[in-house]
Amino acid sequence: MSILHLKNVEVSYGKGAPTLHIRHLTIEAGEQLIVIGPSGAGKTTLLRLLKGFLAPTQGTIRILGNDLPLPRGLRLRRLHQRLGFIHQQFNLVSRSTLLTNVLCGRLGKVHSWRSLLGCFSKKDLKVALRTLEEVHMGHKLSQKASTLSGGEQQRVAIARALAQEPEILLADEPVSNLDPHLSREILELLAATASRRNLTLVINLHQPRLAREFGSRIIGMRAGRIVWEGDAKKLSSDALSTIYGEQYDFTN
Amino acid sequence: MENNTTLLTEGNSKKIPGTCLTTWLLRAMATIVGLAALALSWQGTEFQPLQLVGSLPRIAEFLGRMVPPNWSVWEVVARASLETLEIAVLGTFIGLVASFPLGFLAASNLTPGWIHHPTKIGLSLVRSVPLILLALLFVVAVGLGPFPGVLAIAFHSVGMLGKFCAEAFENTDPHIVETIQGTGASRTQILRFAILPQVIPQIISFALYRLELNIRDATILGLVGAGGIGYYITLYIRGFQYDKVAALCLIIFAMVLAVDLIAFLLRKRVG
Repeated sequence: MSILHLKNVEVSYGKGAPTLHIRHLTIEAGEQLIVIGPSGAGKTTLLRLLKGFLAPTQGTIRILGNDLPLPRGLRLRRLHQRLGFIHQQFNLVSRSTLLTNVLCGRLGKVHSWRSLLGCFSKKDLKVALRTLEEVHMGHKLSQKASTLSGGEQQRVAIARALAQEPEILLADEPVSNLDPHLSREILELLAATASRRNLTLVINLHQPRLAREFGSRIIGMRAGRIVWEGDAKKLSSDALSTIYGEQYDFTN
Repeated sequence: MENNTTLLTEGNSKKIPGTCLTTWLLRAMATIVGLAALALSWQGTEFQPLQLVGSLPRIAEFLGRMVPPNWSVWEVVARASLETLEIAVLGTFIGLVASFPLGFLAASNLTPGWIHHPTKIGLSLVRSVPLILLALLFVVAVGLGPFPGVLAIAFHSVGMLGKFCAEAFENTDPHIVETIQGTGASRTQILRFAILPQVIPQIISFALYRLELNIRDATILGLVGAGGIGYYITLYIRGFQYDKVAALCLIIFAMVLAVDLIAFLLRKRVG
């Protein structure tokens, strides 16, 4: 069942060639899709489109039964809540505790006035604690986010997204700020969690090797267009040359 | 690399800052204007260093009459100091409460231009009014006593605290705001969970700093009848009771130092 469908989507800033131009893209429920491509290829733009942060200049996007763009308001908030988003910069509120940060993932589901007083229901607390356990950060729940290392911060950011109980998890270069060892750990965590919870996963990545290892399907972007699409196992050096525009050596 | 080398060729040498004749001329003119301003000010204020030297015996006598400080006034002075402290605390608090929404309205990332521009201009107008003038106006408006003092301090604080609050709001990380928005949070929830945690510690720190300044400023409110210890400063100086002035000054020193220390410790905790 396809839960995400793009057709003839264009995003352009000012005149000239569009920043993004996608003829056709479908994502199936439960898929683990990885998007690769050089910097400036439009990977982040694509993800922001899917999240509803950005409106296409033209074309149709259908996601979880909603036609984007949605106007600001309750329907957009409902959709936001079903789409988890993980950022390259983690974007935790550094002065708040881990628990408060993760509880932010529940905001779309709680009564506004109760949450403003900092009152969350037992159920919300339970969900937050469980997701913190799920990313192995349960032991630090009352620490401030500013005290964490990069890898730990990304774990908490993942917990926050999971606390939304989303149907799709979008991750924009989630490991670009982490060393190779931590990158692998975080991607393993994302892949395992997505399989366990039957989530659809869309990840932007800069490392083709990791993409081939963790993705089920890969799309390669270049200059705003999808130039390669296929099974992760089939990502060859030739394919990478098409995407990155130069002889690509898999060993580095 | 290529750009650098062409920049250094003869034809372009004028474009490198600090090397051409016009820059040199501008600097010379700025120096002349600066010196002229100094000379005019010297003349206009009848500034005479020699007179200061000539007055040394008088200063020595005046200082001599300050020791030993006359502590007989301590009770009345302590009460007046407490009043000064109360004026500063209450005035700062009211100023802070007013500054928070004004700062929000003046933040260019939170409100449209037709709201934040006028608010910013209003705040700088408030900042430009000297405290002593405000105190005089409030004394005329509501009568003598500490009440007009509180109003003057509160009003005076808004100019600075409002600007600081606006800057704190403007310095919030927009990515975090967007991230929290992405969880499906409402506007008020975004304010509560993404913006406030980023600004509150800063604003507390500013308010404590403003409190330190306000305690110092509030000591002179009594000069115009707006309450506190300032009244006794004029009273004793006009009565040539310099030993009492000395006791009073020491009490003010102690009070200001104590509050500075407390504020410093508090700020270290929140900062």
